[in-house]
Amino acid sequence: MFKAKTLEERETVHTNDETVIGTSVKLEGDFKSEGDVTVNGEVSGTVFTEGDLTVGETAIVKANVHGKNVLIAGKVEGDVKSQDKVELKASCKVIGNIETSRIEIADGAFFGGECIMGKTSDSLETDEGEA
Amino acid sequence: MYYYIFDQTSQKHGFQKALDKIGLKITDLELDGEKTKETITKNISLLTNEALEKDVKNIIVVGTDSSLNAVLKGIVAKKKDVALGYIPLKRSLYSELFNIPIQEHALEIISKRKIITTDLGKVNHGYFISSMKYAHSLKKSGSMFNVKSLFQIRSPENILFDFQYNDNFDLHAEAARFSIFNVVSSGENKQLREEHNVALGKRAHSDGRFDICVLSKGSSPENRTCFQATHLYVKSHAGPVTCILDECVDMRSQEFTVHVLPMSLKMIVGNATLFR
Repeated sequence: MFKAKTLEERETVHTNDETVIGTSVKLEGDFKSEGDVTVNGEVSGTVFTEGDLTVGETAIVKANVHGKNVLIAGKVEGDVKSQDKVELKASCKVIGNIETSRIEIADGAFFGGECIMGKTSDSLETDEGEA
Repeated sequence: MYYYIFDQTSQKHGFQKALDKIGLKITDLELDGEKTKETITKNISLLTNEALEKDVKNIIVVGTDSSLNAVLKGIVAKKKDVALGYIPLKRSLYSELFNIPIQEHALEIISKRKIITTDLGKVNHGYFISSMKYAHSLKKSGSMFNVKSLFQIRSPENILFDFQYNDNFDLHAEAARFSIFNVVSSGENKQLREEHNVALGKRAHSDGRFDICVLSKGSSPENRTCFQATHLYVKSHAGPVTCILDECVDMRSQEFTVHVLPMSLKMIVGNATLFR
């Protein structure tokens, strides 16, 4: 079974296919990536990646976010869509709806919204195509 | 036919012995061709244009990285199908990047004619093969302006930069340093990987995109921003700043428009693993 990488594991690896948004950086607009994305700064707009998305503890994201696996330790205001798994860490604050196949919520995590389980990757791709 | 351009550095007294050896080696390896020298009245650009008008297929630069950069600028601007060779007089960024030994030993590489085609970076009216770098309070001083000095935080003062990618996104970063990489030497790549967990792929020279690294204040992983783009508009909010192209060409401006020119330079190289 696929095991999502932990936050620590993702922070220590960076390849040329990985995108990292640093703590003192503000990103506005629609950001698309094919590789893994880690956000530690501020983002407004949308974030879409075919790889894994990590929202770090220092991140403030006011955006709809899509990823294969989504790990959230910071703040997210917007809808979260995942093809596989969403992991909410204790430090996170999520205000928005979550669509995913699997979810893991740590004790202390804040989640204000609806969670829709069981959507497949096909339906996510259809949603993206309609957008 | 080979067209040799000897830059002004190569004509300095200290390189006379090296030039003699280069001349002998050219004859030994039967790499003869037209030889031209840069003068006060005939600079590298003029010599390059002359060569291109003669439809030569191989231009060999003898001298320094900045001369090679000036020649490639002329070749790419005129979109000519020319293979570029290099005889570096001393170790340099390009000699390391293309695995070309210095002085007469470089002719062994030229005689083997291993030619690769690589992406090129275009920024405003300049070009770069390897990287474009900005670092506050650091000035170009030969090899001192390398990745190590780029990422060493001495007395960083952040400047607000905008990095705009089409209409897709606008990235505002308080940056003390940033680098836009097309391809880097294996040594520089190792340094990036060890110190900053950043590693460029082996096909970086032909992937049609840049890797952009932005560092703010400290050099901790949380302060690092890395992303990829095929083109980019960079604006400084603190007036004109100086960027260095390939550690050899200064460019001062407030706004930089950076593009990848895919597979647009043919270069004669040594057995560089980067270009396999």
